[in-house]
Amino acid sequence: MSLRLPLVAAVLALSACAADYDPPATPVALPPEPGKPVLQRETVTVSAFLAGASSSLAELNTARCVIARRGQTVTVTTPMMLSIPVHAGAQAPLDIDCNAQIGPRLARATLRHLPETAIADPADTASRHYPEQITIRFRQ
Amino acid sequence: MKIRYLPLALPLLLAACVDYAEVKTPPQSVSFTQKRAQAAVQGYSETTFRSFRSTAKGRKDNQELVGVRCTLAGTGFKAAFVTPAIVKMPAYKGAADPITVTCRTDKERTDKTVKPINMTLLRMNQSSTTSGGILGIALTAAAKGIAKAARDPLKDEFNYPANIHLVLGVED
Repeated sequence: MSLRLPLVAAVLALSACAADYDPPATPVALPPEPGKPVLQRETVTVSAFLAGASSSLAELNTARCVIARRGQTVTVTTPMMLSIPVHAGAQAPLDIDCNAQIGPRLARATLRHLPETAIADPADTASRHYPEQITIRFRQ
Repeated sequence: MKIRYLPLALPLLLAACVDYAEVKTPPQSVSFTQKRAQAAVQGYSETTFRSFRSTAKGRKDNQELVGVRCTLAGTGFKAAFVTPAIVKMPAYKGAADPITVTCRTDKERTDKTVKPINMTLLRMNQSSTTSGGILGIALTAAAKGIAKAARDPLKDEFNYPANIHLVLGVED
């Protein structure tokens, strides 16, 4: 048996790891907390995937997500870019609640994402507090 | 034929001799309780439901029962039938949920949960392997594993089993 088949399969497998859909170029803005000045905005790409048996994975472009942080919410469809306002002081976690039609059911996946840097220093606007990518995973 | 296959072949031969009751009613449809479940249907596959009585503890006599009332409930659909019956079960892509089948007589009742079958994965597992020694087998297994991981799970086809047997009475 030649080595061609496993090599082709390996290339296919690696290509399957890449995202299938590009998010719209314009980020969706999460509203700032009332009365608090915005130090900076950070853009986070939110994607959703369906994890199947045997480690298979497919990106979903139809997952509807409600993203909330300290009472401010925004509803989006994945994949999308979220613009998060950063205020001085302690950063709140992002609560993400998504649903997607998978087979006969409306599947649900939730995620609480803690900020990577908990405190925002007004003198340091270069550091990120939220990751560049957040991935929501649905199970088959 | 190698002697070690005999214990496997014997039950298969005996099973082939089982004479099941004739299904006298035409295949029936499920009724949908959720529009999303109906909209997601990719097709239908026929499942034959049969009921049996197990008459002795530790031993299943598999005496087929005719005329047992059963209901089935899935995500967004349901059906009621009298065994033996053929039900046109919905097929889905991406995912499907188990169904619960309940059958009852005046004295007995049985509940069975039946999982759908990922036909895409089943076909991949059943595809023929090439010979070529241990290396060939290992490479084919690796290629199959990679192909399974590389497939799109949203396109996985799910069917319910072609035959579902409900056993009333003493279970093994």
